[in-house]
Amino acid sequence: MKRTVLALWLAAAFALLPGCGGNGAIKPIETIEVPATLPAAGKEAQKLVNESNVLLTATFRVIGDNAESGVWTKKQAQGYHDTAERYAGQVDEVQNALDRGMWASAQSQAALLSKLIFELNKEVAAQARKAEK
Amino acid sequence: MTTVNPIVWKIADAVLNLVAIGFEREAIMTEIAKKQAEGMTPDQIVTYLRDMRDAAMMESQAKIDRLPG
Repeated sequence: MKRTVLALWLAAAFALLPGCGGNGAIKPIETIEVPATLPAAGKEAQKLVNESNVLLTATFRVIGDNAESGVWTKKQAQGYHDTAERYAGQVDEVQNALDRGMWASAQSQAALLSKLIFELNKEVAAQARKAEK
Repeated sequence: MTTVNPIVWKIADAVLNLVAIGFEREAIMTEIAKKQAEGMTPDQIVTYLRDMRDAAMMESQAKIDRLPG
């Protein structure tokens, strides 16, 4: 048992080292290209929408895995899933605003939404196993 | 067998979740980089990201639905 815990800690410590991939959750995305035809506000909004979709995808995968492995209760998993799904719908609304050329509105909505999604991401990461009674 | 303090498990869970999200994100970014290299346009990537998110959302819900209770 002690060896298992030690292995978990070593894996986590390794993953959090710079360049080892595990600290990717806190790195900004800079490599996804956005349409060159967009104005500056549109580009910024599209960048935030893309980042939000990447982070939501990763979050959904972790929620599903934690549910499947029994680490979380059904209620815990469903709660986080519902929040993430609501944010996904809001991301689509921002994308619709972008598609209609509402650059400034899309940019401000995307900025707020990306912060909320980042906070959800941190909350999901910090959520430990279900309390044993 | 040695009993592990529940606090240790909670911390380990949180660290592993953080690592898991980081790995998932890296995997997605690698996939997008590959698509960009293959010539996928930025507009196509927008759609691709949304479809990938929706697929992950449906899979997550399916896994939750399989839980008892």
